[in-house]
Amino acid sequence: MPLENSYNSNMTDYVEVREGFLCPVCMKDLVTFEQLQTHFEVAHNTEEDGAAFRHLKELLGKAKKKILKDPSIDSASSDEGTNDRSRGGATSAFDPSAWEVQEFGASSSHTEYFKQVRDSRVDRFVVETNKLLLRLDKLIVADVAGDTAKRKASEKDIVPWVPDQDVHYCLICGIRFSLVKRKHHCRLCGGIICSKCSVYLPFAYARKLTNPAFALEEPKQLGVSSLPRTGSSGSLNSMTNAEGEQHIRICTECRRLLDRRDQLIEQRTSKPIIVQFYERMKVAVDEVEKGVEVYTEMANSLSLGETRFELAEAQKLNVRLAKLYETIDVISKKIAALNMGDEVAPHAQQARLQRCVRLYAAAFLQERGAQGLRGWAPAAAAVTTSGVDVDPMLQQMSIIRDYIRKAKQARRFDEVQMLQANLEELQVEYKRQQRRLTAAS
Amino acid sequence: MANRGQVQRPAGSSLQGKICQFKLVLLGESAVGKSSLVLRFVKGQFYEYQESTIGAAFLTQTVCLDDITVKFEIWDTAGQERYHSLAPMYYRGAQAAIVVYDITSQDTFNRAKSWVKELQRQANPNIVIALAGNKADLADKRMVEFEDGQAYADENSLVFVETSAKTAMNVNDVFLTIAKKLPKSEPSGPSGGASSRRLDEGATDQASTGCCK
Repeated sequence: MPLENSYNSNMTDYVEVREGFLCPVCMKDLVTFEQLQTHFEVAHNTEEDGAAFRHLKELLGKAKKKILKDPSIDSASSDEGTNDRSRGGATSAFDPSAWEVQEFGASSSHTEYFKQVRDSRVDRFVVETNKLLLRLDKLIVADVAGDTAKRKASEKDIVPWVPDQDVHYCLICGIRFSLVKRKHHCRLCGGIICSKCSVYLPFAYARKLTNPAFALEEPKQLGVSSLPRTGSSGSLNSMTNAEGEQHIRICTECRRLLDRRDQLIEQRTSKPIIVQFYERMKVAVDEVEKGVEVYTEMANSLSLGETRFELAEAQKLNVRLAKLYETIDVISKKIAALNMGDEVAPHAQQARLQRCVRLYAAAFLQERGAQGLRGWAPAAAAVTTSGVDVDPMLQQMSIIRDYIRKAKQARRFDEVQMLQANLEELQVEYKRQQRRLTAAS
Repeated sequence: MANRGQVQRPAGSSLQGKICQFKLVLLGESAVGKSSLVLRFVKGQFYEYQESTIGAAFLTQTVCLDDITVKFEIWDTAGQERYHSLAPMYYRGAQAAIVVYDITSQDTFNRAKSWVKELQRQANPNIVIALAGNKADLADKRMVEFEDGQAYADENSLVFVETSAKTAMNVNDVFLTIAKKLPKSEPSGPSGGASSRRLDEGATDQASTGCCK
């Protein structure tokens, strides 16, 4: 970049744009770099020219390197190169835009600055909102309902009102106050606004903000009541609305801050449906993780013939696991199908998230051996020594042992148990057979 | 915990979400297609040249009925005479049996009949037996008529079906039919049902009869 820039800026200084190996001192075209170098050394070999020469040499050296490195010049392999050729012949090879991608020059991160600005802004909003909430709390607690004058006094006591005579224009919309355009005080910031720039804040909504726990007890539809103009006695109807609910007048600016806080609380306390589903699924997944561990231990212990665990216990756990697998399957399917049938298809990101959750669940089920609910067949034995002279009973026992090994590998513990039971049966039967044979002989 | 995963099931049934496990044995002359039938059912595969079974092969498969899941523990016995001594070990504790014959061979049908007799004599009295005339795709080489099979099955109150492991015809159906016929409710008599393992909470009694209550 610096090379190109210095060239361009130099050239703009000249009236006539010339190209070639020009001597920077006498502007003579020397045709080749070597000739220019010798010319410069011979003709301008003075003290002050020395610095200029070194600079020039450096520049040309860099340019030379760059040109030699650029693949678009000597081969048409890159797209860039072919494009240039078709556009303007050999000269276009020197077109700076066709040069290789340049390294980044000096850069500076503005992240810190951004964070600084943002933090101070957030701070200001938070402080401001907290101040409003403190005032709001006092305002709704002050029990002076009924007495207009007293109420007004207490309101003014909590929030200093801007004197009427100081303000001639609405703080928000800038309209001039007049006989018909009355002045109103925001009970929260004390500022003077017009009726259009003020809203009534119901006490219920205020309480929800100052004490979020309150909202949970009384999940009522809370919102701004519209502002019907009923008479001119602003202070009176600023106490109660048509339904007799208490409310106060505030400006839209304060309202905005309060709404923002409300949203924040809402975001923190309520979770989207997908998160609720996901959390339920995650609980099942965690349970499976724990259960499988115990089950593996049980199955191994049982297959070793230990008596630490009861078979029935292991089976019970197995059923539990099967149910959990089913839960995970059902919930993940629900997540995947969330809003899919709606008229407005979910956002691509959302759809992707849903798909990913389902994929995760499917992979989890497969990995955890949730195939418990699918078929299983052991792979064929590698070599079956089917010697005719071998007792079929013994042969079968070795087959079963091989199956047990395979079932264990596949984590099919249910199958391991079935096979184990069969092996025992075979052993008992074999012993009986042998006893009968010895008795007969 | 109580209602998750069962939303779509009708309420009020005590069978909801139960997993029943049944032992099923396949019997029949060698090379009639027992292994092919099971392999088709369990893995959906078919091999033109299925190796002859040694001893008894073991497979499992699960089928879902309306609101219960039935897990089959399948013992695919070898048809060769030399392994005949193993068969009783497997059909003795079985709740279901599929006796297979080859519709292109009268001999295999006769052998199937003798298997049915053996089962009736020695197996669990409540065993559900299905008679399967396999290789139904080879209709031009048919030696055993459908009616013959049906008539014999009716006489002995067996489930009868002609199947083809190659084309997958009726393969799943025969297992499903058996699953439906198996006693899944607590039997009224003490001898009713079989020693199927009930995979459910409280299934502590291994020898208990029936599947799910």
